[in-house]
Amino acid sequence: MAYIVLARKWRPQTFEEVVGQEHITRTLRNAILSKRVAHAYIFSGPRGIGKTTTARLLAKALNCVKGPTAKPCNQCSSCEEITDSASLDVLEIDGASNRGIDEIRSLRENVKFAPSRDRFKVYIIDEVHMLTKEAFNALLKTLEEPPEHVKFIFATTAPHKVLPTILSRCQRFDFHRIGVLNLTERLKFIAKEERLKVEERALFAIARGGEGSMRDALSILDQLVSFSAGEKIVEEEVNTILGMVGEKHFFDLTKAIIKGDTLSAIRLVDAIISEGKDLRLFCANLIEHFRNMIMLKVGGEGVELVDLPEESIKRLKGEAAHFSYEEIDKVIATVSLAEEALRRSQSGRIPLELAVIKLTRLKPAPNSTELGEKAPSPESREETGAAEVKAETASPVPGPENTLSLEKVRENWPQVLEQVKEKKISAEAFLKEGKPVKVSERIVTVAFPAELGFHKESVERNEIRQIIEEALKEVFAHDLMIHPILKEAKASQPESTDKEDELAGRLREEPIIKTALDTFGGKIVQVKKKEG
Amino acid sequence: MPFSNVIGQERIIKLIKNSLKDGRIAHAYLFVGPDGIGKTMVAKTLAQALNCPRADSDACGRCPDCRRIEKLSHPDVNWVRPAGLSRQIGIDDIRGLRRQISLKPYQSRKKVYLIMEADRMTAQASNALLKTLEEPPADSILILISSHPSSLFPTIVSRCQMMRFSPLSPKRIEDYLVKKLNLSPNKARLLSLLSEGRLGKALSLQEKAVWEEREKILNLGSQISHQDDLEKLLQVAEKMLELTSNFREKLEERLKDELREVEGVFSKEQIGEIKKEKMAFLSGETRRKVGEILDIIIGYYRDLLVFKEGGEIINLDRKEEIEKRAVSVSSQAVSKIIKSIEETKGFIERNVNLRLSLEAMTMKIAEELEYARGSSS
Repeated sequence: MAYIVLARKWRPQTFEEVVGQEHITRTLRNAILSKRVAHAYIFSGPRGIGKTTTARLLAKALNCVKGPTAKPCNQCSSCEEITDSASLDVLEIDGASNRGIDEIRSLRENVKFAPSRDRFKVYIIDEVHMLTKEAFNALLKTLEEPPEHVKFIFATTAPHKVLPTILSRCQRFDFHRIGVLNLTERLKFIAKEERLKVEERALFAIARGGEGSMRDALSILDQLVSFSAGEKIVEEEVNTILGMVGEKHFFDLTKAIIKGDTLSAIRLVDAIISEGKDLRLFCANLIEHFRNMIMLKVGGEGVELVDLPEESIKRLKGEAAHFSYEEIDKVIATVSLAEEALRRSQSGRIPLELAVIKLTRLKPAPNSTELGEKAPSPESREETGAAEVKAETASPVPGPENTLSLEKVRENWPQVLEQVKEKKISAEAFLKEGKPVKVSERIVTVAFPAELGFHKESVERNEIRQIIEEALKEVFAHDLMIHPILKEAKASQPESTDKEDELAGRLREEPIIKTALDTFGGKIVQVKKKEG
Repeated sequence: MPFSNVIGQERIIKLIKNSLKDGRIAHAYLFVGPDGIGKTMVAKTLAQALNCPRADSDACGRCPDCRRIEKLSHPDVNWVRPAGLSRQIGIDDIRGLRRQISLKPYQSRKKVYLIMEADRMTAQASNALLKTLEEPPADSILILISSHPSSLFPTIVSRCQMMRFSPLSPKRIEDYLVKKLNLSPNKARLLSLLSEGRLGKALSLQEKAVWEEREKILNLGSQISHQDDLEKLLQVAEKMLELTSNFREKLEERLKDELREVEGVFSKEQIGEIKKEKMAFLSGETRRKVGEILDIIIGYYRDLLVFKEGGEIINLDRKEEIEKRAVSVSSQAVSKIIKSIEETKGFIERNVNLRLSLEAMTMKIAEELEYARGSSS
C-alpha cells in the first residue's frame, strides 16, 4: 500500500481531536444535539488548520447510522465511506477546478434528488473563493432555500473573495491559527503513537516552523522521520530542514551589534553562507528576533506574543536592555532593506554584509569617529560630530531641559539635509540654500539669501515642510518646526545668536513691518512661525 | 543516472533514499533553492528511482525506463512547464494534469508529475491544483520545482514536503573544479567564491568569454577615480554601454533567426505577437545584463569595504589593487558608492535612460572618491 503522509493519516476523525478550534467544534456539536443544524456553513481561515477536516466531520455527524450525533461512530458504512471520500451522498467538490456556471447548474439539477441512502445530501465545496461571479450568483437561490435533505459546507482560505450575498446566506465560522503550544501537544501525541523518538525542543521548533498550521508542522515531521532513519530527532535537524539559522547565530549577531564588532559580524555572515542557509529566511528571522525584543520591552501582554521557550526569552530580555526602541526600529528597517535587495541582487552575500556593517555601527562606538550610515554631506566631511548625534537619537530625552543650541543644530545640519534628501531630493535642493540662524525651544529659523525667494517659499509649502520637520525630528529626537526667512541683502553682519529679540529687531528693519509698526504705533511682542 | 552523480545536496539525497527504502515517499514534494544547484537533476533522478526495475532505492541510469526518463520521453513521467506569451502555467495545463493523473500508469509503477517553475502558475491554476496536491491517486507523485518559492501560494506550499536545496560550500566547488576540471587551486578558489555556491555559475564563469568580460568590467570599475577628468568618466560609462549593446545585438540576432524559422508557419498576427514577446524578452534581458555588470562592480567595492573592516576579499585576483586603494578611501565613501550603484540598478529596472543613469553613476562614484581623498590628505 502506498505510504500516507502523517497529515493525512492523522486527520482527526472526531470533533474532540480537532486542535485549537474549540470555539467551532463546540458550537457545531451543540447545534447537532439541539437539532439546530443550519443548511449552509462557510469555514474560513488560513491553510492547514482543520477546515476540510471539520467539514467532513460534520458530514459524518449528520449521516452516521447512529446519528445525527455529535460523536460519529466511524464504524458504520456511512462514516467509512466519508473517510475514504467514496460516499454517494457526501459530495466533495473542488471549487477551484469546477468554478464555472455550468458546474453549478448541474449541481442545482442534482440537489433536488433525494439522498441515495443516508439522511442528508452534503455538498462540501472546497476552495469556494475560486468560483466565478456567475457561478456564485447561480447558486444564490438554492443556497437560501435548499431542499430539506441538503446541507452545504463551504471551505475557503480567502473569505473576502466570496460574494457578500453568499456569505450572508451561510453561518460563518472563522478558524484560528493553532498556537505553538497546542501544536506541540498534538505533535507529541502523534510522535508517541507512531513510536518516533523526538526531542522536546525539536517538537517545539517543528511547531514554530509550522506557523500555526497543523499540516505544515506534520509535513516537517514527516521529512524529519525520513531523514533521521530511526535516530532520535534533534532540534538542529529541524533547523536544517527548515533552512533556519540556529538561535545561536542571532544572539551572536546581536552581541556583535551591541559591541560594534564589525569583523565578527562579517565572519558570521560568511559562516551562514558556507552552511548554505536560506539568506532571506535569515533576514526574516532576524527581524523576528528584534520584533520579539520590542515585545519584551513593552512588557505586560506583549510577552505573551513571543513564542519562545523560557530560557530564550530570558536571554532576549537581557539583550533588549541594550537597545532603545528607536535603535530596534532602525535595525528592523535596515534588515528589511537588505531582504528587499536580496530579491533583486544576484548575490546574496553582499546585501547582507552591507547590512551587518551598517548595524554594527548603530551603537556609538567610543573610539570610533566613523559612522557608516551617517556619512555627512559635503560641508562636514571632516567632521566627527556624528557620533554625538547618534547618541542623541538613540536615547531621546524630550522636554524643555533638553533645548538645542544653535551650534548643535548647525553642526548636525548636514545630517538633516541627508535625511531630507532620502525622503525627497527636491526638498533637499531647496533647503540646502538656507542656513539655520536661530533656534528657540521649538523653532528652527532658516535664512535664505535674499535673491532665493523661490527656495524659501518652496520650503514653506506644506508637503516639503513636513518632510523637513520629520527629518529634524529624526536627527534631534525633538518636535521642531521650521521657519524659513529671507536674509537681507546686507546680511554680511555676524548672524544672530540665540536671542529671540534679535530676530524681532531684525524684523523691525523689514520695510513692510516697519511701515506697519509706524502706521499703527505698535511693537513686536512675539515672533512666531507662520501657520499653514 | 544514480543519485551519486549529483554534486552536493547530500542531506536531501539521504532523505530521499531513506524514504525510498522505508516506503515513506510523500505524494507531493516542493524543491526550492537558487538556480544551478541541482533541483531538476534530483527530481529527475527521483522519477527514475521510482520506476527503475534494476537499482534498489536508486536509479541505474541504463535500463529503458531510466533512459526514457532521461530523454523526457517516458509516458508515465510528465513535465509541466510555463508556456505561451506570458510564460505561465495556466488552469488548462492543470486541468490536463488532473485528467491524466486519474488514469493508471501505462507501464511502470509510479506516475510522476514534474511542475517546473511552479511559481509561474496563475492563481486559477494554483487553486485548481490544491485538491489533487493534497490527495492525489495512490500511484502518483507530484514534484514542484521553484527558485522563487515566495511567489507560491501558501496553500500550495503547505500541501507539499518542502525540500530546500542549499548552495554548495565554496570548498566543495573548489575541490570539484580542481579535481574534475584541473584548474589551478587559486583560480578554483576564486571561482568558488564568486559563484556563491552555485556550481552552474562557477562553470559558466570558467568559460573564456565570460571571464574576459569580467576582467573588462573590473578594469572599468577601477578606472573611475578623478572627478575632474570628466572625459574619462564618460568613457567608462560609454564602455559599459558598449558591453550591453554587444550583448543586445547578439541576442537580437539570435531572436531574429528564431523568427525566421517560424515565418510562414504562423499567421501574420501570430508572428506579430511573437515579435512583441521577443522584443519584451530582449529588453528585459538587456536590463538584466546591466544589472549583472553593476553587480560585478558592487562586488569590487564590497571588497574594499570588507577589507577595511578586516574581512576576506572575494576578488582574489585583484587583491593587491584592492588593498592599495582601501588605504586611501573611507568606509563611508565606499558605503555611499555602493549605495549609489544599487540606486542605479533600481533606476535601470524602472526603465530610466541607460546612458544617463550610468554616466550619473560614474560621476557620483568619482565625487565620493574625490572627497575621500580630500579628507584623508
